[in-house]
Amino acid sequence: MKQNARLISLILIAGLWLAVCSAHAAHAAEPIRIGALFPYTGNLAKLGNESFNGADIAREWINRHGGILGRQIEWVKGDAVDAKAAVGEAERLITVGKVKVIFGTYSSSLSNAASEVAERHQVIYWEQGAIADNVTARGFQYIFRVCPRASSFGVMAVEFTAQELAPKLGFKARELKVAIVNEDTLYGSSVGAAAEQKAKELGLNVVALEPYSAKAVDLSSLIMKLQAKKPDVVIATSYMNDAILFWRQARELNFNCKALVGTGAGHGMMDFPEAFGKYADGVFNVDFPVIKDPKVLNPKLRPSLTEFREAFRAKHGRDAAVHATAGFVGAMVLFQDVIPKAGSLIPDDIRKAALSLNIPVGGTWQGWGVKFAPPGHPAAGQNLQSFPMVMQWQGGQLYIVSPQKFKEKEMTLLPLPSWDKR
Amino acid sequence: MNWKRIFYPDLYIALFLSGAASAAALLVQNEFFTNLIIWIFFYASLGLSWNLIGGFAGQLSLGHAAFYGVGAYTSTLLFQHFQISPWIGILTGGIVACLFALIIGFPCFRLRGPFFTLSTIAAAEVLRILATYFKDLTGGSVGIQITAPPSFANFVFAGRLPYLFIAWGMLLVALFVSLLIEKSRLGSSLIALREDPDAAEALGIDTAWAKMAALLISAFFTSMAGIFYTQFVHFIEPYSEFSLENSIQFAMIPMVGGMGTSIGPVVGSFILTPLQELIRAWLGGRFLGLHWVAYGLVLILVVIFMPHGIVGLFRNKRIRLPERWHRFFAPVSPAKVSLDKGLVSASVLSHKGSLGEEGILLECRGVTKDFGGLVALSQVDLKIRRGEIFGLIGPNGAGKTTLFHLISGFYSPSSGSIAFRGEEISGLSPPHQVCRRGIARTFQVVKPFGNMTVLENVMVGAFCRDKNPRAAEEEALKIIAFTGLEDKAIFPAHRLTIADRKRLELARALATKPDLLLLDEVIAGLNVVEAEQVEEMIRSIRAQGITVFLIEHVMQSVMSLSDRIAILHHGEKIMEGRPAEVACDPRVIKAYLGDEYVLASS
Amino acid sequence: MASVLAQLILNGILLGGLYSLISIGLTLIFGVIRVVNFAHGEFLMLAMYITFWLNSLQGVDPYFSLLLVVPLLFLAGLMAHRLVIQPILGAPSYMQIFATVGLSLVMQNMALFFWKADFRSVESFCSTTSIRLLALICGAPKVIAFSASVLITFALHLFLKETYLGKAIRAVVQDREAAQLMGIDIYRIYLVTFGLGTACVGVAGALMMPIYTVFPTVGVYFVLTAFVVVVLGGLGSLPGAFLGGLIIGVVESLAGFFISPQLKEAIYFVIFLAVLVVRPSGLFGQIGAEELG
Repeated sequence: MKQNARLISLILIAGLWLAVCSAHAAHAAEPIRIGALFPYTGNLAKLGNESFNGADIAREWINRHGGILGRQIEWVKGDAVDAKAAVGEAERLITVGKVKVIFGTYSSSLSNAASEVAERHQVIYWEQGAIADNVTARGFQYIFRVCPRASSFGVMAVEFTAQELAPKLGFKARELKVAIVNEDTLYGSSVGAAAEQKAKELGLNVVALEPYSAKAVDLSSLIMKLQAKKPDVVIATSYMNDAILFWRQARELNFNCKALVGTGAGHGMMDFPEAFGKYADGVFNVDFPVIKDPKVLNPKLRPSLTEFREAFRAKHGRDAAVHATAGFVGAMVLFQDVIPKAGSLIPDDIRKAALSLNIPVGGTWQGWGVKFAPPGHPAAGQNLQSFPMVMQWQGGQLYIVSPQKFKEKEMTLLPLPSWDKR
Repeated sequence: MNWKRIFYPDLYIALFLSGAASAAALLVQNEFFTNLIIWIFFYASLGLSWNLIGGFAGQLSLGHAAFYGVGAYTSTLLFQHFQISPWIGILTGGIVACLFALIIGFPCFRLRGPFFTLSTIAAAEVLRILATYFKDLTGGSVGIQITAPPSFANFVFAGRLPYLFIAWGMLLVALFVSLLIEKSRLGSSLIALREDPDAAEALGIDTAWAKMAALLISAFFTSMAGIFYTQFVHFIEPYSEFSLENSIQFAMIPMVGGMGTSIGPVVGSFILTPLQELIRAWLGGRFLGLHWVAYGLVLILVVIFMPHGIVGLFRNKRIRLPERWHRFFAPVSPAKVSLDKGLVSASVLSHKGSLGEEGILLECRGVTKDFGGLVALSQVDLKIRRGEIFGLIGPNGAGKTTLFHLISGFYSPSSGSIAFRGEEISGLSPPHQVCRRGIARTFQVVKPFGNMTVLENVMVGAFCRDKNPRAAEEEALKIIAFTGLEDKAIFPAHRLTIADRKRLELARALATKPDLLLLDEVIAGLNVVEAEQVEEMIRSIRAQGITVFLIEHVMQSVMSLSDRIAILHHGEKIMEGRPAEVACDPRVIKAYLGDEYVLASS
Repeated sequence: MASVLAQLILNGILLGGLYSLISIGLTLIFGVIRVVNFAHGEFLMLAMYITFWLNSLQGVDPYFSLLLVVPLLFLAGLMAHRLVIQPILGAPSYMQIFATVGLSLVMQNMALFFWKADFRSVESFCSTTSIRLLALICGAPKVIAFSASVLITFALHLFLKETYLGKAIRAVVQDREAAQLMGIDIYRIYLVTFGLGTACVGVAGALMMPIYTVFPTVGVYFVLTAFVVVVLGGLGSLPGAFLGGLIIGVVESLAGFFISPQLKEAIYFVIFLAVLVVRPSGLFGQIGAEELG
């Protein structure tokens, strides 16, 4: 009996193998196939899917309005669950899926790995959300990154602290005690390093520099270390889980600081106010901006900002946050501005078209302009007109508080009231 | 060395598969496909490396990513700072990996089963955390990008084909090493210690050294693969090098293919690697996470239905080649030839015990053993003379087997001394040291190496004295003939009857060419005819000069065999003397049968 | 300084209480069945999700949802054992781990498929309550979890000591063959133990929801630590799992403060390795139990 079972399972597995191989026959590509390389599963699944969802709204809108070059856009998805998978999937998308453009990837380490493959094949790598600086520091010709870099996050967080927080709190910048904490993967390390360097430049009093593991189940010792140093402002770079854990345990252990400045990822997600309710209010987040008022943008933007936000809410039952919007913007620039200008899907044409773009600030749904650094520039491929903005959670929503041009609301809750007084 | 015999059939199958794959890659000219083949070769060589310690030695390590990462970082850092070519890096990385193997193996090998596994996981995790923490040294999570221009010396190539051939080379080297080990004395030791570590020690195998040797070689080749990977993706960072997922992957390949054989990991990689890629390709985009569900289900099914891997399914149904091919590719082993032609004579052992002066071979003085309150042996004095057959009897629980454990090095006496040939051996540990000095033993509950053939079992013993596989095989054959097992020489041991297992136990111990043979109830459980045959064997053994010390319950045999007999009761020696004296002694009768019978016999 | 140290130790003890809760079930399972169950964390995840959905859909407070979560997890454990663990018991021990890896993959990704990757939390009536003792602070949910951990350890200990089933379980931990010879149906014992172990994890999950967030891969964060605790405390020993959890919690808390938050896991892994070398049976385990049963 066991023999039969063994044989059957062997046949099943062989059959699966064959079926999978044959299901891989290449189809003639009539629609435009764009690779969509994201971590759909695994630890980064949440934000990987968010980013993709935003980009997908873009695709749907474009398809509804005639597609590009008269053809509909179709995704070829690749699940980049880790760096090795990213490489493998990129290979597959290019050599089997025959895509000429790979869109992705949200995570810096995945982007690094996969873009290398794309560069080798001279396929366009269109990065919409990964921020580590080295993604565009390798002199690659075919990579383009629409969103800003980690260094600008770190720099902006520190500049905001020194130039806006300090005076509002009644301190001189050099008197302010600053703590920089970050999760220890590429993302957190990049932002933390940039923040540290800028803080040194500005002569700020950095009382604590603490990397920690994002997979930590408990951050109480970190909190206690900070408590001992009594910082006024904490600049934190965290993923979702640790962002929530940190703030929760801060409350639990009665760790009070005058301001918490998050720098993306965890502090920019709707899950943050969902977890904390009113306790999320007052927290700052330096991140890709989520603009709510279309008036600060180019009025000729199509679809309008409102249209996008409504379409997203209709499809996913909640508002588009930072990463979804970044996905949308990245995709729209590609679909609306670059490929039509290129007139074809030949990577070199797309390259030229991308390099020739010059959209002024305010010309995209996140308020950025688009101007990619040319080859030869130390950050070739980087959109030099993108920048993070400082936002603050108020009433469960993120409002831009800096820079002045895009300000939506004034800062509140500064300094943060201590936990027992909330 | 007969190369054909070593390589058949594993090398030919592997050559066929890998050759066909490489040819396909060259023909198809699709980079995804070429990459797939590279990964297949890559994981096959990793699986082969892991298999040395995981499959042959049965030590399930889930921390091999430690060696993988250590090798990769050593090579990359040397390249980055000193421009040392990664080819040299393979050597230096391998050496550093071996160092780590020593550091990790030393504490971890003291553990067995799942505890060993957990300890290896912990070790690799510690390395991962340290690599992230010491970012000034390793670059931390930001990692190190390899930006060297393509060249052979830099181990960086623009195209994929050079990597294909290097990976192929890696596979063949790993396979070659694996086959060499499998058919050598080390391989025999590893498989023996996997099957039964105690029996292995008792046959003179230094299990600690064997495990460490396997781990060192495994670490070296794993680190080599780590360096290849880094040069292939041009990037190194702690998580991709040291992660638990990696370690699990390295172990999964041989597990699916079949652990404990050299071809298993190769087959495993050819099946599992494309399966993984293709399941993800097919299901990955469509339903969130379903491709992992499929993969997980495959794993579960494989363990349930193919616990010995794919190769295990075919183990008993060898594919028959046409006769001519068969004769070329599968040269008949001399063993079989000798057996078929009855070339091995049954009466003469090649080992003669140390004949020579009469004298005391083994002396126990005041030997006491207590287990925290339970006194198993108390002040036992014994002298065993060269060339005699000495019997040890006593009711159950008297401490007889405990005494054997003390003599053979499995326990240390709480007090007292044991001297062999005048040399103090009490407390000599581990047991293989005792075996190598010339004491061999059997176990009361037989411990055959179930998955090895009878011949291989006996060869384990023969390897104690003969390092050369050929010589060991010849010796083993003679012993097999002597003990009457020649009809079953190529049976796997788990198929033997209990009577044959006891013979096997005896044969194995004999193969170590002992001066003193400790037999623990080799006759109990046999029928009259079998018992007589074994008695004859024992007499014959003594005639060759080997001293025999035996524990038995079958009174008839003990009485007829022994020159002298000692009786243990509740851990004390209550009497010693010639069989006739012992049989009538009232103390003995009382111990065995109780008071009433003493009266009856007096 | 003294108050900082005291607070650190208190934090560690409370964290340890969480670890103990998760590990109690595992020490039973591992001690009895001797399979390294990599899917243990996924049962925790399942319990947390059930607690979340009960709260989100029906408004049930996590502490009350215990009444439903525990039996559900017990059943889930029985099912998983019957379908996956029992069929592989005949396989070599080194193969069994892979089946549990497979199970873990299946469970994680079915959760991902059905419930998406979002991070879910619940608020309970006492989530924000802090308890103050002199200069020390702790959160109420953690104290409740700790107390539950004590209670369960005690209750299970009584169960194992006084009831026939409990004694049978202990017998199987100590010597499988002998237990069979005494007429104990070890397969039934395995089944019940697995269910019991996952029920304990169910308690852990429900009590952890007010403290933590749930997402499909949350189990991975806890499973290795749980194994460390179990081995440290000694296989099959409930007091061992409880104290082992506390020790790991305190070590983690102190190491995170005095050395570095990044290195704290490495520290307790090293301690784990050291204990294994010196005393493989763990602090309270039976010597020799670490040999395959």
